[in-house]
Amino acid sequence: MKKTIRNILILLSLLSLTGCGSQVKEIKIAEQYGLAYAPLQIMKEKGFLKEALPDVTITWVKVANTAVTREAMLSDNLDVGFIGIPPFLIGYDQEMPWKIMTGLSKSPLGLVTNDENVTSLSDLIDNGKIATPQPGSIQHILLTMAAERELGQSDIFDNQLVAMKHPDGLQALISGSQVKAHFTSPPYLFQELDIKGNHLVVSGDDAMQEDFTFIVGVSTEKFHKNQPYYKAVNEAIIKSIEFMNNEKEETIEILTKSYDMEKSVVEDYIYNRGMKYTNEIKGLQTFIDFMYQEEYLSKLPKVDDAIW
Amino acid sequence: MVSKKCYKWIGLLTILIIWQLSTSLKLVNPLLLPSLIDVIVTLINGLIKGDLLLQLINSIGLILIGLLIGSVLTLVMGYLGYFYSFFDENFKMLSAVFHPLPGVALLPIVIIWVGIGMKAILIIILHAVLWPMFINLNLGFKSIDKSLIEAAHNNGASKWQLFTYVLIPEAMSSIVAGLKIAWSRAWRALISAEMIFGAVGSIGGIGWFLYERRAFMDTKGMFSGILLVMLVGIFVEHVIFRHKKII
Repeated sequence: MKKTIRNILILLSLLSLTGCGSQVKEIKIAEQYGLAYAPLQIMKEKGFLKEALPDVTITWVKVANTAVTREAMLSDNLDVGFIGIPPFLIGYDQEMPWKIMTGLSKSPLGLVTNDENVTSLSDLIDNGKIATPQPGSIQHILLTMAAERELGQSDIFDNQLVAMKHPDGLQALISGSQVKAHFTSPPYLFQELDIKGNHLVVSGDDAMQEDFTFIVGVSTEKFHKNQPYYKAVNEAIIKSIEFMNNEKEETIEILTKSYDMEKSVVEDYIYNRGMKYTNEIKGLQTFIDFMYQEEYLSKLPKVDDAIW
Repeated sequence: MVSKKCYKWIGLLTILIIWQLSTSLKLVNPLLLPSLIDVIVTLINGLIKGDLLLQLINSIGLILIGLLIGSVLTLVMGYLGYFYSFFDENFKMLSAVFHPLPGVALLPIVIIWVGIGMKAILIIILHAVLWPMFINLNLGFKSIDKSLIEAAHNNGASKWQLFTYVLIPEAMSSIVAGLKIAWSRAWRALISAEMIFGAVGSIGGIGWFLYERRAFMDTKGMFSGILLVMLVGIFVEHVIFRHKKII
């Protein structure tokens, strides 16, 4: 019996050890593809962060989506991540030790349909499937917001929703199967709208009725405590955004290479169709109020508490 | 002394106790490993107040339909394969080609063909259950004592009589083994299909529940979904398949 107790104690102490991280000179930062994350690509290619912290190893971690970002930060594999405001708030509500450090981009978002008879949201009721990324994503929340605003019932489309990654949703919309509409973001939004016969039913702005930030940068409490690193990342983001807004030629060149897209398309998408790169954070209060009212959040956080 | 019958529960129980202790003593972050008690409470709440019970019934229903169709097809294939070597060779070829292929790999194609929803998932489940059941049935037929079959022939049994009175009863233990494999394969197929391509029908099944809980970062919910699948597994193993020796 004594032996058993001893063994359990050893096991427990081993378990407790795994929670501790060692202090290494490293910043683990998320790398994501998509127009809204373009400043990160610039920061990486121009080496802005490396320049500020030459002795620190900067590890770019490729993450596929919001859930992965959250899980990577939770398991200490990521210091800084970039996600939409709603998924950030869901994590914050679950007492994830993180806050917003900066805004990254604003972007047009919208619900695109392939059915010319659909002119407003009400035409979609019980009419085919609606694809969005995962539940709780900004696209899903904006759709429920629009449903609340226009039809007075936020969950009216719940039975018609299918969760699809952006490229799958695009395929489904084009192939004209059961998916009648797709709530998406650029470049998929632009690609879908460029196809004849497709049109916008509701935009993100219609749903929010105000200016809002699409992607924010978030960091863990642990990383925030390391102020020199934290400040360096924040400054590198600002520098990258300024670079994008001032050095258009070079930005287009860098992104053309990273995205493997036509130069003219990159220029059009980044500068002419409503993408805005800025570190300001907008719309947080509206998201908080709506998500609390619709019970996506169990507590009502203050805006200032959610930002470092 | 503890009776031998209880041995198998000791390991499981130890894991559960260590789990609860490590969370009670706050050794781990509850977002990574929530307390066992919280998980059980979440599970019960989900079953009583939420959609979880309906989702479970939805999942099991789909699996049972898949198993039923799969069983009928297996029997037809077994019959044709046993008596006609043309079919036998072809079925063997098909099962060699399709058996190792994960259903999830077929999903994108199935979706193009039949769309998203119940039909697509059912096809994936059918694919998951058909081949192991067919292979096991064949294995059962092969291991039957030849003298029994000859005796049936000598007594003038028709093909159908031979099939129903000799082949099937004699191969029963292989058939049950095939069903067991099919059952666990069906769960895997269903859950992975739902987690990759979203809900089936309006409320979805357990796979969708896990997907949604992940999206909402509800670790307790994720654990409660996994626990539920395990409980169903234990129930099936110990209640439904327990009597296989009697058959």
